[in-house]
Amino acid sequence: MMSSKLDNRIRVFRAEHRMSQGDLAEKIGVSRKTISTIEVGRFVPSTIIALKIAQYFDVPVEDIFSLVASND
Amino acid sequence: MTETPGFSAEQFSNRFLTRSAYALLLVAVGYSAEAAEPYVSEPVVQVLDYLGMAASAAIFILLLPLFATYLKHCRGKGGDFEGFVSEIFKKACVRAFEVTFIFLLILEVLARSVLENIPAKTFLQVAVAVCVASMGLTFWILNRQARGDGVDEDDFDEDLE
Repeated sequence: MMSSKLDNRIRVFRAEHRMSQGDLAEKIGVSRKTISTIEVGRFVPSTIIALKIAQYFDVPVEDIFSLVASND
Repeated sequence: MTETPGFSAEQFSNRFLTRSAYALLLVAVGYSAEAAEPYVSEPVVQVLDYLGMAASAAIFILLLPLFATYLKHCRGKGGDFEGFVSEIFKKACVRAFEVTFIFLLILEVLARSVLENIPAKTFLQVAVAVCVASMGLTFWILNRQARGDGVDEDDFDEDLE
């Protein structure tokens, strides 16, 4: 069945801003584990966390998160 | 809310949830020991008693200091965290409900036939042990899987520059 997977570019944005996972976590008020599990796609963040990340990097949320089709 | 240097409220919440889940495994040990007592010899009963006491002491040591800190720093903020640890905690609760429900259905069938001489107290102790053990184990497995992904790395990625 065709389903959707949430892809993200947090790692890229972190690199551009020269930030560690811990730095980003502190800035948006979550734990580092939350950031790291979002990055690898294990954890789908809430809308609030997604918006906080986008707000921090000052970009639309779609620049960071996107849906990709997967054949699971 | 007061922030302790180096720790966010969510980190406290995560630690509290993590330790609570692991404490449930100790609770399961305590209940299992109690449930087994009527069916083992006297020396083994003493060992199980000590095991139960050790589990209770470990729960106390594991949770009390963190509980005090949690109340101080995170009181009233418990529902605000939507991070990974609270997510797997919720998943573990759901899994514990499923496992307990199925276990009770099986137990109900068995109680009518093969286990009819077992006292109700033992059934309850075993059911509670299964419930809390499945919760703690599910949490541990999900947490472990996240580590398996290498998600605990916290380096700045030079290769992405």
